[in-house]
Amino acid sequence: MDKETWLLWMLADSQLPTGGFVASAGLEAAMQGGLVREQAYEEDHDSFVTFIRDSTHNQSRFSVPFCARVHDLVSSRLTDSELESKGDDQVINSLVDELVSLDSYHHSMVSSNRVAMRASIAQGGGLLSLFNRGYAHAKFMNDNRRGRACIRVAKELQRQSRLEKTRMHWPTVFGMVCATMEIRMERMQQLYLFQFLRQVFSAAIRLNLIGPLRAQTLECDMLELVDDLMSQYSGLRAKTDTLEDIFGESVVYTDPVLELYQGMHDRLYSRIFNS
Amino acid sequence: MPRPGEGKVDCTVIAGRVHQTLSSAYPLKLLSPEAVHNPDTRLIPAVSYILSYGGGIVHGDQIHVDATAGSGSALLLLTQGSTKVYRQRPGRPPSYLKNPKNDSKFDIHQTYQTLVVDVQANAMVCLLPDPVTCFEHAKYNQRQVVRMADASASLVLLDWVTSGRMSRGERWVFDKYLSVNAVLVGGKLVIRDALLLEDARALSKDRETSSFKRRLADIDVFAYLLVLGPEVAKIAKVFRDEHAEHRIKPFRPNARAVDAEETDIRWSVSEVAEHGLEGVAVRVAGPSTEAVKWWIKKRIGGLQSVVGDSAWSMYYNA
Repeated sequence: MDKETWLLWMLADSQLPTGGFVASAGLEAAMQGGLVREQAYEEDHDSFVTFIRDSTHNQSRFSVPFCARVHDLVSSRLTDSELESKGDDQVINSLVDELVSLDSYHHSMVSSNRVAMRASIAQGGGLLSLFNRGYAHAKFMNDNRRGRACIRVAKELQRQSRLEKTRMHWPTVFGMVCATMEIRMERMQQLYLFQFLRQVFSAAIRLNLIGPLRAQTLECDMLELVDDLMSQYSGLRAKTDTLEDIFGESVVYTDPVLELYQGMHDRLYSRIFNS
Repeated sequence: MPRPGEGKVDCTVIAGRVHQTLSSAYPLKLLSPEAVHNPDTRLIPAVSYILSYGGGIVHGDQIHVDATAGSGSALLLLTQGSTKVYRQRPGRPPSYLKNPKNDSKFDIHQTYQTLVVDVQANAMVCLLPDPVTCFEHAKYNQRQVVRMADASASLVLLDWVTSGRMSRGERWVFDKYLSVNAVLVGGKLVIRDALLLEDARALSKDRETSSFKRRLADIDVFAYLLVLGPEVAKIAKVFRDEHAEHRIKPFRPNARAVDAEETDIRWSVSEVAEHGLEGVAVRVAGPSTEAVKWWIKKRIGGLQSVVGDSAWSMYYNA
């Protein structure tokens, strides 16, 4: 069996300890605010399905292009030939700086949405710590030069985030971890969307919005959605370098209503999720 | 001389008076009525209207405004009536609209409006336009960047869009709306809010995923409001307090709203604290321009004592 498939199964596991189970991606607020109707099944058949489609579409334009940019960057920097020609220290230091600066750009995209920002930092920190305490001790990371360089990058990013010199947002860490473990671009993008969907489904079950069996049915149907989004947007890379990039559409959000409802989360009278 | 569609507003305070220099070229027009300085306000107000000939913009228009608020000034940037974005004109735009600077940058079959605002230390800018209304098939790109010198600068920025010509039954039928609002503090990007409403290409197998018309079916107006910096701390507090007080009870389909007038308004407030700059970001969705306009006006009334009665009334009474 190949390493990539094995790792994908691990990363797709709902038990992955990154703290994702406290996030509902705005579903809880959308439900209490009336956007997604309770007893969705009988009364308003489509409001949950609509929510999940729209929010996945939003992710494919807002976060996935960002992960893809990080994946490109890490894959191109951490190669044996780069390490050979420039030396480990220089490659590692400049990659860390580039990742910190990309992360800071991503931060600016969630800095006016406190709820989304909090969730992104919490999950990013969770995955980074999982990498450093878990995957970094695996044999396949330690028995080669590139793997050892990856470990040093991740350690340094965690050190800087502890000192509050940087945050580490979910898409940044996700792109970095997948690239360091040599999960291919397309697989990573699919995994990102799968994980997002699975998280919303699991939140929906806990909110009593749908039952676990209906969740399985719907999750099957979401394959078509993910394929469709991949075919349209998998080539997107977040461009962040110039003013025209800032004004550009390489990384955008597409659902203002969702953004608004997510922001209402902290006003919920009672809640079980953090976002 | 400004190139076609370009304009410049410069506000400087010299010896307790504000001096405003304006320049602009067709199809853009800048107008600056005098705002009386009320000695009670710390900042000296200035007002500029950003206008277009014909009351709207068309494909091929490339509007670009540079505005600077010098230390000690409060610059209000307003419009008169909504910014209408018309559908594509047939053929190429006439040569007198050509701005050679943008040749390679822009698609001539879309409309661009760029605003670059500099807010110096102890100055304020209030960007309070009427909403953007995109007609059927319009393709609009709105690009706004505010460069704040440091955390002593203040900003009120309202960016809003309607579903279209509602009176003609046009709802969310334009082809593209891209709106980017970026805020820099001391050269560092701290906020980038980029909204794209555009249908994915038609060959999509799954049409359902791609329609923003369906996503926005329940609303007709969406607004994004930033209230940042020391001069508007009190206004930010109004939103914060409201956020703290108005808890959301679990949804009941038949529940009566307490405040009937604002029943259909949905809003959320987010805290912003970046690089010493503090304030709030507010998102509002509602059923009509009037309802959303009124909801916002009611809450930013504290601006009156910051910019003075004269400048305030130009915004408020419009």
